[in-house]
Amino acid sequence: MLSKFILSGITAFLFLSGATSDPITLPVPAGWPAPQYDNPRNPLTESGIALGRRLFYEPLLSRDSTVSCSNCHLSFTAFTHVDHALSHGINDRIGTRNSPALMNLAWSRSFMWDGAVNHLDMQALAPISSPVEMDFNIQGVTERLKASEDYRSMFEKAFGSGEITGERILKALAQFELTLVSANSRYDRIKAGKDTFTAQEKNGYELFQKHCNSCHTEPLFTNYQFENNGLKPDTILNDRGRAGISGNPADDLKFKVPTLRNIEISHPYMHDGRFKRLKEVLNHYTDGIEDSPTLSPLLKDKIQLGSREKTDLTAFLLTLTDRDFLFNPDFRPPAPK
Amino acid sequence: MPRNERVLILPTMNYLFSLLFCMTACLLPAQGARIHAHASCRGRIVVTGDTLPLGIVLQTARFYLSDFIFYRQGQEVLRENNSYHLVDLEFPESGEWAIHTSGFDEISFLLGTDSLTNVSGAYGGDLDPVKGMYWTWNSGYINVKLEGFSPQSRGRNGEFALHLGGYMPPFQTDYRVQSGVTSSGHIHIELDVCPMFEQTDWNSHFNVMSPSAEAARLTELLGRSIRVYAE
Repeated sequence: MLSKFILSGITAFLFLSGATSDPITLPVPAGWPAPQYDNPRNPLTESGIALGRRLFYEPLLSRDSTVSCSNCHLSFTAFTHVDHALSHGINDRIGTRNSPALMNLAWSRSFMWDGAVNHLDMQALAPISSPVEMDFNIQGVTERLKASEDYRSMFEKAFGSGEITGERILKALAQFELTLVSANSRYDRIKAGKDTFTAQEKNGYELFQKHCNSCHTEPLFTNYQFENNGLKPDTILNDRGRAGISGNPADDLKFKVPTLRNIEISHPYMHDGRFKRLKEVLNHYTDGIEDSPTLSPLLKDKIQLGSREKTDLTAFLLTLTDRDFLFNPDFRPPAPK
Repeated sequence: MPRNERVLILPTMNYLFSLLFCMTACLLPAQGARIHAHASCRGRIVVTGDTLPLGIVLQTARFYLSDFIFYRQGQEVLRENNSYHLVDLEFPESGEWAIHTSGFDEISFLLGTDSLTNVSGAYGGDLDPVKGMYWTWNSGYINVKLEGFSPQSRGRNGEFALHLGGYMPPFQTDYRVQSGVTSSGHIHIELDVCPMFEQTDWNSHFNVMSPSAEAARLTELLGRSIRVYAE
């Protein structure tokens, strides 16, 4: 059952924002905390979300007009780039990290594996500008969209005038991304009393709560912290994670704890996509942890799991798959005009 | 109404409308003040493309002035709405705007943008990321952007690029300026860039492009070199 939460001041600011359709409330699933996203200057509207969806699937955002957000964030695979350890941008340029799955972004405190981006509105600037992703800039995107009568019309519906600005492009993208809520997995239905775990899943859930829940905290299955989970550093990528942003040696090799929702679908795993299967992930936690000064204290003691327990744990993780989310028609590419 | 009376009334109404328009458009600015923000070096106004006395050629010079507050005898008389001004020396008019108040004796503003602005999502106007003053790899506004050539710089062909930003401790780069000033018609805010250039580390910090101790140091040098005066 969904409770309702209204972003603070949403109606009061509707007039100021110039939005032309009624504000939409962001549903907060029962038992979830209040969202982190709270920008009263960007109330969700049907037309704003529709514009954001169109932009999400728009190749004009890339320098050579070949790559859209959806190239690395496919709706059917929990908005990640399935089968690609490292995502590729224009001209087949290979990035340095695995594209994160996108869901429940309203609850996220920061964005990117290293938390470089502090607000969902501003996140799109990073891939648009990255030389190994879209290799373009928001100024260029704005100019391209201004040439489109269709876009001018969509901006008018969304923001009250046909003026196309960087601010509006970013806000519309954020609006669509805020709607990507995954909260109807079997786990959720079980929690709501509408379904039950099998004996194997139940055992897996108990193992999860004992060994994993501290970082992959329910109900969002992440604590949104940065942790070093003992991965041996890749000597070619030499990615220092959060320390590259904070400059703090204590953050060396720390990456944002990802959600486990839809984990069945969002392979490969880890910030560099080094593991293709869940089995490899669990083997890492039992046998592959590399000690270092910044290793999470929770991983200092070896996690003990037998093969039967790993199977049970995996069975539980599969209950986090949300097919309503994966196959939501509202998340697919908009119908061509 | 007889036709001849209507003929008489129309010019009268036109006159009244003109008078009303003039009272609104002409008199109000006279009651307020006008800001003129610009940059200088050793007392000489500089614009983009100028060669400074230090031999530095300034190709790009942009900086934010924000959060303007006006006081009279210690009491706040006006806090400017949407108070963000990107001053771009390539477009001198960007440093000119009207203040609709008078009777102040003190002015306060930031060189740069405050931390709340840096964590509150997308803004428009002078804060729109299309202005090229927002980092893309790491959130936050570039509060001051100075680019060009210096004969001392060890950068390629003597290039330098000082992108000064950062909103989190210990590398905050906004600088509060507070200055007494008479509220006559024209208030000048003059940023003397040369004291900072004289103390720039041309050997190792000719490129500053992230929040850092060097960015904070250079911003403070700039902030201290701001002079506010009335004309």
